[in-house]
Amino acid sequence: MIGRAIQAVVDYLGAVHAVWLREVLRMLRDSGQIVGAFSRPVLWVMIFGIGLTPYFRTGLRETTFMVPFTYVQFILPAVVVLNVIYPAVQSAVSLIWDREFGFVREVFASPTPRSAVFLGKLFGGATIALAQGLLVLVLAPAANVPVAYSTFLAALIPMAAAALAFTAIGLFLAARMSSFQGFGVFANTLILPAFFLASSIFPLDPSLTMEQALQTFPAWLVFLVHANPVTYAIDELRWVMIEYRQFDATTARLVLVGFVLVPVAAAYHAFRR
Amino acid sequence: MPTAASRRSRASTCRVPHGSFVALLGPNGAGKTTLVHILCTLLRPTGGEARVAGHDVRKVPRDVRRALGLVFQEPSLDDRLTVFENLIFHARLYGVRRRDRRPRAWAALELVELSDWANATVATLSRGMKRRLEIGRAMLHEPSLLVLDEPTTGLDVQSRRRIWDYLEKLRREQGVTLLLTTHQIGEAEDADTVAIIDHGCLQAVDTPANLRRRLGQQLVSLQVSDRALARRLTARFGRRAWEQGGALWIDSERPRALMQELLDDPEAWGKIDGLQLVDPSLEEVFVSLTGHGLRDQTADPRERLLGFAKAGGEHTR
Amino acid sequence: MPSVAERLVKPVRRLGRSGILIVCGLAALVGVRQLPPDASLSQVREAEVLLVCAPPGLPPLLTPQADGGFAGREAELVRAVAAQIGVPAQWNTQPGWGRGADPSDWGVRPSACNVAAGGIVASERTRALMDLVVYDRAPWALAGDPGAETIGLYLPFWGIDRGTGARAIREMGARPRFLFEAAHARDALQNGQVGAILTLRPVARWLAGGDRRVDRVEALPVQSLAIATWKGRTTLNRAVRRAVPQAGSAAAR
Repeated sequence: MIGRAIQAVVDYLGAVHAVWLREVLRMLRDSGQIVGAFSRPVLWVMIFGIGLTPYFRTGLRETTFMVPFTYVQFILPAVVVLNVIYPAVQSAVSLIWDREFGFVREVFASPTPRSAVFLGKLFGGATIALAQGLLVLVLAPAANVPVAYSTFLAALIPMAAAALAFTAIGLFLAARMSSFQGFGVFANTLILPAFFLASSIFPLDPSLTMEQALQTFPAWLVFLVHANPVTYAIDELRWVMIEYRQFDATTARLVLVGFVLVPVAAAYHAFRR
Repeated sequence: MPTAASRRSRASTCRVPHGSFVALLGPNGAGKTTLVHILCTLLRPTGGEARVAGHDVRKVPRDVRRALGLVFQEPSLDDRLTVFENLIFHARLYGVRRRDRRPRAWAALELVELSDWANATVATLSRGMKRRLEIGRAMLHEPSLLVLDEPTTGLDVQSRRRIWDYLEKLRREQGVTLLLTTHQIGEAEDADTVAIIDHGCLQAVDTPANLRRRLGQQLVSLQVSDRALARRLTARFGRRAWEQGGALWIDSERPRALMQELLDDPEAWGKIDGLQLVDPSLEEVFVSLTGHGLRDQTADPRERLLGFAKAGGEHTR
Repeated sequence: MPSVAERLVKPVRRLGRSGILIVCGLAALVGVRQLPPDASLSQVREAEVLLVCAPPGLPPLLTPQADGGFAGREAELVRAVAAQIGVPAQWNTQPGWGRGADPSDWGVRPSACNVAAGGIVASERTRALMDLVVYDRAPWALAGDPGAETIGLYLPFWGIDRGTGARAIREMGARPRFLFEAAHARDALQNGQVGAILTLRPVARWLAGGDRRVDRVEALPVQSLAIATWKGRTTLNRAVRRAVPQAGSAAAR
């Protein structure tokens, strides 16, 4: 009896592993995605970040922002999250292609439970996303952000949260969409707004309180930034990497937990149908 | 246990005995694929009962799935993975033991003569090779019943012949039960049992010979070199005479009498090069049962998407 | 027996084109990160002089010399930085540095120098302005009689919280007295105007002279002394890092 239960668990994990491995192998065969994974950090950190850094250079009475980081240090954690979001959504959205091109039938007609397929897809997408996020850390020395082992390990938590959340969102959308409009739609309607509205590349003046921020920035912008869960993922990662945060730690962590659980639950629900 | 599968569609019942070859014949849209989906538990039956190797598709879908080898109408391979990776993935999904995976994958490749292509990406394979790979893949977990949904559709003659060879070999050597859907009557001729399906109903279930016998009539086939004689015969029999494949076919109510008459007719002497009685093909049986021929296929949305992707598509796949 | 090269190549070859792409991509990232993120170091090389902002004097870290230069530990570090870059150091003494409690009134401008040295303590305020290279850890210390009624507070450091020192003196049951000049502080201790002076240890030792005791104050947090470059001048900061042996990786930020 116990032997059979163990066998069932082993079979289940084997199936999760199979789907996971397939997702990872698939990504490794996609040269377009690989090129994107490497070019995005270079574009954002080396070109955008370094190009804008002088405008944020600080000095006594010469700057609005008295902040303990340079601009490129500020956006580095945001670029990590960006490089996590892209592959997460991209790998999840491949579910649409799997469905349209019949591969999903091979999986769904197998004895593998749907939940195992779901978990394999979720973890597969998240693994790819996490790996691509880690690529950005290769550029950390260029941004003068030291990455110690402890920092590295701590950084994995918010990165994994963003990876899981966006893979789940991608899976949810892919499971519900009846037709395919191309990845550009996802990039433009989901990834980029979520990224730009996350206090990522422009700082909502970090030294200001909420009331002061509302005087500097239009209220709708402040509201959107605060309502965006990605804001808190980036904030958490920023705390780990440059020991700086704009938002309350407890709030950020609670939002992150919810940001992972809600999409995963929704995606699982959509996936089962 | 003689029964590998039995299923019921509307009021009719069909049993597929173990080790036999059953062809499910019907036009597109007749419900063949629906039936396959019910068997592989992708769809729940709305009524009736279906069992595969004694397992009820409603109650124990997991056992049903394990007992089935499936080859779908459309390719269901991951074209970015290699041939071998596709097989290993399938083996993992079906819980094949680790030590068995690689030997079985190689055996499957050998069966479908793709051993040299083990490390090729599936996208580089031709349509026929993909179909062969799918057949090999379906056998990886050693199913007792192999279900093939239109396995030869869209393939060239050589690929078709090869696929038939493999299927024949599987049946002979491993005693696998074959259930095959087709809208090509020629493919059903070799089956042990033919089930004719249309509008979601089984119209007839019998051996090909019995089905033909049920139609009753035989056709007279003439090789006529003289045009005048041919015209005379065509005029006499009207719509019941037609030319096809260089021969003149006559559907007579009394074929043997007609043959005798032609042999006795002095005017026809030396003008008829060949004369024989032919059993009606399944096509005629089909038409007589369903009242129409096999319908033509139209492009569905999925095919249009496929065309879009082949033309370059968006940058994600 | 496959060679090392073969063993490395095999997994890459299995991935085919993507393997090559990944290897090239990683190489490109590592290559690209070597690019200088700014021009601060090349500007120093072009000018052939390293301008150093410094306070008028902070013995024993920066002891003014007759020729307008400085001696002392920080002066040595600055010279090491200049030698590392291969240019001479030129002192740009800031008369306002250290006058008054608010550094924004000191008149120290990023345009005036490449490097700043002179009792810069790592704190939120200094980090907001400068990239710090911490060279030593300095605990708070009391020079003189710990039981004195009046204890001087001499803090010629940029970024240190005076309130912390003043509170500590009150907690010792003494009256705090603020001192701003090095010479003045030393005199006050010599002639008994104050019984003791609270400051960081290197300065406390100098004030004590050799004939007075120096006690470490355990209750207050250990501070980090640093040489600084202005925020965003990363290449120059790296040159400083190469020249200055850093104390404690945690404090290096």
